[in-house]
Amino acid sequence: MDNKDSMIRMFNVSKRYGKKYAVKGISLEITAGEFVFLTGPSGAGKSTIMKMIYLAERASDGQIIVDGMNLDRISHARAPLLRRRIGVIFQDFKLIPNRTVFANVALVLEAAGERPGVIKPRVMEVLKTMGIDGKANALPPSLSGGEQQRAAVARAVVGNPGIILADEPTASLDNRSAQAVLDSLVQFHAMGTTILIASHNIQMVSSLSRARSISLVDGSLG
Amino acid sequence: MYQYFRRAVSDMLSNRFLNFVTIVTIALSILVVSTFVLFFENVNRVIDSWHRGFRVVAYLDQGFVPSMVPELMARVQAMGNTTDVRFIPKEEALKSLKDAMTTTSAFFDTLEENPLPHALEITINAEVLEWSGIAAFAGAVDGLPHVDSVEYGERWLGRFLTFLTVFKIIGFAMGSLFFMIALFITANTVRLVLYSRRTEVEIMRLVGATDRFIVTPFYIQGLIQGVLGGLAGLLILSAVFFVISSNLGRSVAPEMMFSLQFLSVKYWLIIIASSAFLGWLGCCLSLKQFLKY
Repeated sequence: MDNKDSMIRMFNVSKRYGKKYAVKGISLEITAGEFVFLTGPSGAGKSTIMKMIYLAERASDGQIIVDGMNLDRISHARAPLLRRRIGVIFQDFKLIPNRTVFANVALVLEAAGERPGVIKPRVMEVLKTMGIDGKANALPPSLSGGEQQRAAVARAVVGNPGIILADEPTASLDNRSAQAVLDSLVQFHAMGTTILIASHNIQMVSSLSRARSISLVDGSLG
Repeated sequence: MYQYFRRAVSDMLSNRFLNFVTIVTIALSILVVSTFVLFFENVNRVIDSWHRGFRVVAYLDQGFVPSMVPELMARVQAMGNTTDVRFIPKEEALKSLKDAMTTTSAFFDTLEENPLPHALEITINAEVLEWSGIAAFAGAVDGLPHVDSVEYGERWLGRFLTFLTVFKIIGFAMGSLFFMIALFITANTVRLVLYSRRTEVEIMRLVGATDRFIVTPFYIQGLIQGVLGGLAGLLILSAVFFVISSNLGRSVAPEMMFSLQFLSVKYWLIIIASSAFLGWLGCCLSLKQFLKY
């Protein structure tokens, strides 16, 4: 099957840790511009699938193709190129605590080799979009959970990635902050970004009727 | 490269305590190594001065008369290995002895004749004749006509040559040992710094940073830490040296044959370059495990 609009494709993908399978026989496809929820209870394998997509883990079996790149054949040297095409949002934010919000977000563009003259306006634009431009010089520990996650979203989108992966992005947040994060992801989706959110929050999943849902149970598609 | 340097400095300022620990570790290691280098450099200087001023004294027999001096001196100079040959008539020798033994000078007035022989004082050419060649040279001088005996402190020289050899071996061994100790301590300290920043390194990889982007600032930090540590160690040593040499100058008798000198510019540069290398190498040894794919 060769689908030009395909952003993420998995063919019979499994991940083993020792003799135990975290995920087994996963085949799925996410097309460009889709908004997809990866749902299931804790331990279903959602995070494992996310990690394999952004190459924090390698699949034990099967093939994964992301934005035309076969992850099975990608070398260590080329992995950063893949990661720049994907913006990742984590449950625990993963902001560098001793760098300012601005520096955390700018890191993505610095790593991509952008010039300071390009980085500064782009970062401020994204921070403003996320409503935290006033916190540019703040250190992450001084921010609320909602503000930190918005900073993390800013970092995920600043490089204009084609795909945003969000692994339980609202699990640590109150309802208001969670809704703000979801709204921002909907906003980026409207601009054409493919969104994949791993979540066990049924309320959030059902709140977005346009979104497709892929269900996981005990490491397999439900 | 400027961006890497700027990030390195920014990272150092963000992790002041850990960087301070690394710099102090390097400074203390450099202080120990530099102390040995300073000691050995001054001892070498003393040894060189002894070498340059080393003299062999050839005592002449009773049959020697002053008219034979030009011929004998020409023979000695023809052997090479000398910078100066001076004839010391026995009258001058007796006068020098009387001047040196002022408390018993009256004894010499009781002598009916001068018991001292004529002598040749031969200053060796340190550029040409090494310590190990002095005995052979003295033997050759001893074989010249009218030379009764030759004094060159042979027992002292033998012991000294042994000491010199042991001194050099110990110097190299100690220097190498302390460099290795400093390297392992630095690598371990850097490893602790990197361990404390493992989350940051992981995040950088996840946002698409290449290995080069991640590690280059660490290498630059290692170099900066090495240079700062080296400078700090040398400055501490120079302060201690100044205090000690000032106090020694007041308390030691003026007839001390040498004066202490601090490390030359050449050694400053070598030590700072070595400490920069130490900081960089410590980073190298510690970085690899943090770049596992």
